Amino acid sequence: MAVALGAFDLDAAITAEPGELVAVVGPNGAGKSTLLRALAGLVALRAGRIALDGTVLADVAARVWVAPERRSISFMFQDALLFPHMSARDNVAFGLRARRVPRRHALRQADVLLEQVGIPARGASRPATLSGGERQRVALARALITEPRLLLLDEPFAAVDASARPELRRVLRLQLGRYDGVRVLVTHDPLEAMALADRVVVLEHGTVAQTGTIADVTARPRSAWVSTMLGLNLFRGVAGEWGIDVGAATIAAVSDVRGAAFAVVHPRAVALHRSRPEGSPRNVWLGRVESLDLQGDRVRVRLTGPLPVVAEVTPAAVADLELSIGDEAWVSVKATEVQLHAA
Amino acid sequence: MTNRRPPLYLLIPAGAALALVLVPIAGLLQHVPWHTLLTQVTSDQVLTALRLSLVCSVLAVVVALVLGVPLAWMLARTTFPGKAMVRAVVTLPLVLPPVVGGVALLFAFGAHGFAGEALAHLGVTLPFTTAGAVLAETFVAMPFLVIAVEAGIRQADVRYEEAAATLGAGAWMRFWRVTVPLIAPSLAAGAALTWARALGEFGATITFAGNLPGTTQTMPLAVYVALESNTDGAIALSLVLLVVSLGILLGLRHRWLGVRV
Repeated sequence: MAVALGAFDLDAAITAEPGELVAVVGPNGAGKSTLLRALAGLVALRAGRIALDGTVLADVAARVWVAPERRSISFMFQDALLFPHMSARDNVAFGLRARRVPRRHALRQADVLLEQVGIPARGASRPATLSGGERQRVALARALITEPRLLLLDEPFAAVDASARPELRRVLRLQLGRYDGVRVLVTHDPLEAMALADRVVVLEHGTVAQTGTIADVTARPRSAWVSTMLGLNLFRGVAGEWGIDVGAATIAAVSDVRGAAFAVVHPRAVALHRSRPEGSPRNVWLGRVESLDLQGDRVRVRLTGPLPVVAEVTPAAVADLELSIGDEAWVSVKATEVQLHAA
Repeated sequence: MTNRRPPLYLLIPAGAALALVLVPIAGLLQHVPWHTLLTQVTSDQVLTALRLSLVCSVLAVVVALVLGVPLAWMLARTTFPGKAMVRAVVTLPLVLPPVVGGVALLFAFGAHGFAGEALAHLGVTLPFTTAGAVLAETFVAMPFLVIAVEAGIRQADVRYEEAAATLGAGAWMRFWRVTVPLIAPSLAAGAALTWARALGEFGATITFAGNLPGTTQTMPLAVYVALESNTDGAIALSLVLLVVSLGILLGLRHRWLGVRV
């Protein structure tokens, strides 16, 4: 699709399988929100085609245009955009009312959805009296009630306090897990993308800079922005006193996060050794070099083993260690370099 | 800074400005025939004029709402060539002397006007009828509604309408369930101002619709007529209009052009 914007044009081809959650990431002003708005039909395409489940929603060449209200979509907006003059349950019921579902039935269904997103007692409240996190949950319930084939989420955490994010993320992951349509999530927060998405599309300056699974993009970032923001090691597991249990191993970490969590280790914090290192690092294991990518003045070394990991080292270090593909190498990470985030 | 005592060179003209409004009202109040007020206000002539005024002004508000809200929406949400000109024309009755408006209406809708001739074929005559009085009042008062509602629509976030569209709401439902509730304060303010202006309309009404008791003689016209024959009645009628106008302004003080009192 192509959309004319002020400073530059958005020109992107993306596809998503049914049931897939695609995260669109990229720096501010890259055209992420415009991409979602184009999918929803809120902005006109200059060229291109949009199809959903085999139904053409827009095709500039064939002069096909389906109005937003006739697309099987839902849009969850950055700042919720709950109708201020309606109660939470009237907001949630809106999509069903638009489909001529009788009011009583629509409201009953709205109560079910409000229960599912964890705020059954807030149905009668006006949006102005809800917290940021509650507003986003109402917005999620409102988006899900129509069972759309395509769910568009624009920065769902941006307007929410940091303290309310883990809980919202948990609710979102639970609800998105139950949903079987296509989900497209726009975010500038790589952690969010990594926590929720199956696949990422990196949008930079209106064009797709990279697309692939989280693991692919982490291992082989193709731009400086991707490298900085997404080229992180991510492990999901259960956090306790001693660190985080990620299944294959336990990573020592210092944090007061408990329960479901994910650990982030920056590749720069991963050290490589020819022999087993002695010293302070708590996390030491043996890996095998799978790939070496020279990126500017650094080399990204991807290792397999009990914990697949990417290390970022200097070309000189690679030369000193005489590392090549297939070699074994000792990996070490200090516990203080492991950041834990509640999932 | 804001609590400093105002200098005399501002205080004196400001006081004079206030006096300019207060002195005539005081003059009116001084001559109110308090002991016969009730009989004056409930006399047949007054009641007839009052009833007609209410009917005409309410109908003028209804017409202004039905026609003016879509126009305000066009001005706020769409772009079209000559929009600045359209806005100027729409607000013209605000500055035009009402008598001129009445004369213009007469030449358009009168027996020899092009619109009047067309309507005559349909059996409709407007001049010197109650419908004509409503038309004259609408002509003069509708700009208040258009201006207030246009401002309200501009301030209402268009993204609420977009959100409604993504939830499956068509244009009709978006307008009635989302836009109208969002601009309800502006609608109320615009309608109240329009009603007050229509209620006080004199020049265009008397020129276009005449001064027929029971048909086109509204309150302001009755005041004018009564001034020559029944001064006490004129004052009583004026007092009624004064109280109604003041009540509307006080009721709207939070919404009157956004100024908080």
